[in-house]
Amino acid sequence: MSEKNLVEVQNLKKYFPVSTSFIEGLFTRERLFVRAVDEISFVIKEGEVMGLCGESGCGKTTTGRMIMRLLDATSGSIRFDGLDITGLSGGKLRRFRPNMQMVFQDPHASLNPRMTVAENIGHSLTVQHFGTRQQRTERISEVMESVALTPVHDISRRYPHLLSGGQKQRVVLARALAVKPKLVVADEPIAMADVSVRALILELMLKLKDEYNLTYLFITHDLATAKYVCDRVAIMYLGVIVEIGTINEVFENPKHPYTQALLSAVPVPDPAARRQHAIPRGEIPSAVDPPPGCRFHTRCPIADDLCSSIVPDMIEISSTHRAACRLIR
Amino acid sequence: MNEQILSLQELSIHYSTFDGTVKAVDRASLDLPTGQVVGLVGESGCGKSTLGLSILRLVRPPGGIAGGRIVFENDDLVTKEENEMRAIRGSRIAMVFQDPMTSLNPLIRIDRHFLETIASHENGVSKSHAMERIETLVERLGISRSRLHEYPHQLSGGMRQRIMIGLGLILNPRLIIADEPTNSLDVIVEAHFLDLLNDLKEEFNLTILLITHNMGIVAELADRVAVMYAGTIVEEGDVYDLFKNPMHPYTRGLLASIPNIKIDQTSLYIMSGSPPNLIDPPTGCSFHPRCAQAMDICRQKEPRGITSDGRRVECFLYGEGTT
Repeated sequence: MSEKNLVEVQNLKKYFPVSTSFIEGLFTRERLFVRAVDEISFVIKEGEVMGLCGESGCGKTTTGRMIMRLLDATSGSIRFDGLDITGLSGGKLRRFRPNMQMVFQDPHASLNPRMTVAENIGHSLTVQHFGTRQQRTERISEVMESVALTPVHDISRRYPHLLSGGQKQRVVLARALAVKPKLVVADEPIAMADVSVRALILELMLKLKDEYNLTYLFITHDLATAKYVCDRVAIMYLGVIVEIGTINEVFENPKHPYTQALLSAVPVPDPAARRQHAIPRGEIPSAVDPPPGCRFHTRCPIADDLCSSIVPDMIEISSTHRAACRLIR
Repeated sequence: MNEQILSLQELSIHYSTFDGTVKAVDRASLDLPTGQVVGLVGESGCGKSTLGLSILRLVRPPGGIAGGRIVFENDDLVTKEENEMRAIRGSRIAMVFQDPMTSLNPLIRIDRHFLETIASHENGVSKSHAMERIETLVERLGISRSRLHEYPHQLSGGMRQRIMIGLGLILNPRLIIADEPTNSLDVIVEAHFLDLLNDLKEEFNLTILLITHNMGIVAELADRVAVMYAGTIVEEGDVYDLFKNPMHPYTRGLLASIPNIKIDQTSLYIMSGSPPNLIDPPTGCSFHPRCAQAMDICRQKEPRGITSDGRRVECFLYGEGTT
């Protein structure tokens, strides 16, 4: 892992307007927004696996999509390799796209059922005007071999419905790699996979990372998986990052009460390690009207009166570990 | 307490399709000791949900029970008439499904879900009496009684799942079949739900069949575990024993392939191949094509009735079995 920052996210924000009915719109001036992502900043270093974790609705997927430029940011900036990509559009954006690729949760839904495996993988190459037809075919076999979709000549002619779940996810990985990206954003890549297939995909992703010098943004709700694949992790809650650090720092020495709660709630596949202590009550509040002050104070076991009015700053615990809680000693 | 509330004996469930007969459950035997939580784990398509549904005789055509017995409180459910089954469903055996959003009717309020359930099973209960029961139960589940007048979409996911368990409990069943009850929940809410389930088990003296693909949930809640693969229960035993010393190669592979947050793993075990097509399963042990320790006998004979150290393990590594 180098010290170079591949991606720098600064004060990134995404507000989605809440659609109100026409009649309601006549009587109210105020427009409501879902504050999906509310001013987050972090970096992804070249060659690392950066994890983005949190419960559903915390904004992790929205963040990934903004970095991919599939969603436009409301404000803030995203720099990729020094270049500000926040405002890229049209041809410039298209020419930039091979730099980053995405792997989605549902491999079945992200493959075109009317295209063969080879066509699915090669589509991005065609769109990007990559080389000659011959070179494209070679590139397709090359990536298929690196994701172990062999024999290539047999599988490349099949349609997605003839493949198993694990094979489909490998096609998706091959498609992402075909255009030689630097960054791969993987959004819950194993959530749909069967237990015995998950290990295969995770190990493959780690192998490909070394082979192709990739950097991953790994979005997941599954902390056990994050611990296994990630180098660093950011924990998100209601649109903000509450804690960020290396896997060891965050998982062995969690500072934010939310991170602590999250970690203690993960079911451990070992009955001897059954959870003994209680975990905070309640569910994630609405992102339309997030709690004032610290967003976690409504569920926080240690919150005091000030937590509901003071927005906590990021407190530095080590040079790599930060958490947003006033009460960290 | 060692009495079995439910005992599945050589239960087979087949689906007839144009391509052939799918043996979704193939001569599965499983005992549920009264007052315990039995976890039934397996990957998708292994037959665990079909097995759960079949206990209530809810498997729909083209599927059906092809053989075996379902003995519930010394009564064979396979031979029951449909109207007898209706009296058992809900009131003595209840089911909690995985997706509360599709299991609750979006057009009717929460209280009517409960009232209808009571009205369809108990005669002559006054509405006020029923409401009293419902309110007590719902508050026990941690939901304020005022929420009963709301529609399902107004509740959060965790509340909806608690309503589902409440609907299961309102008729005081002895046995609850919970099919992936926490699938749609976030970890913290899931942990609460599992805690609640554990408390309810004691309070209502329930027996729970917990169907899930998540080994972590089983380890957290179950007293006994049954591991299912390709329609067969391949290993069954006490939860502590089984996790400490998994015996069947499939169980061992499964446990070694999942990330565990409590330990530092350098690599995960990758199980080769994928589950078989159940129309044309492999001969002999259905796991042998993926098994690193497969022997000649595994390709020829089905392992049946093999026990070792008080554990049932359908694997020739541990003996010859009965067939």
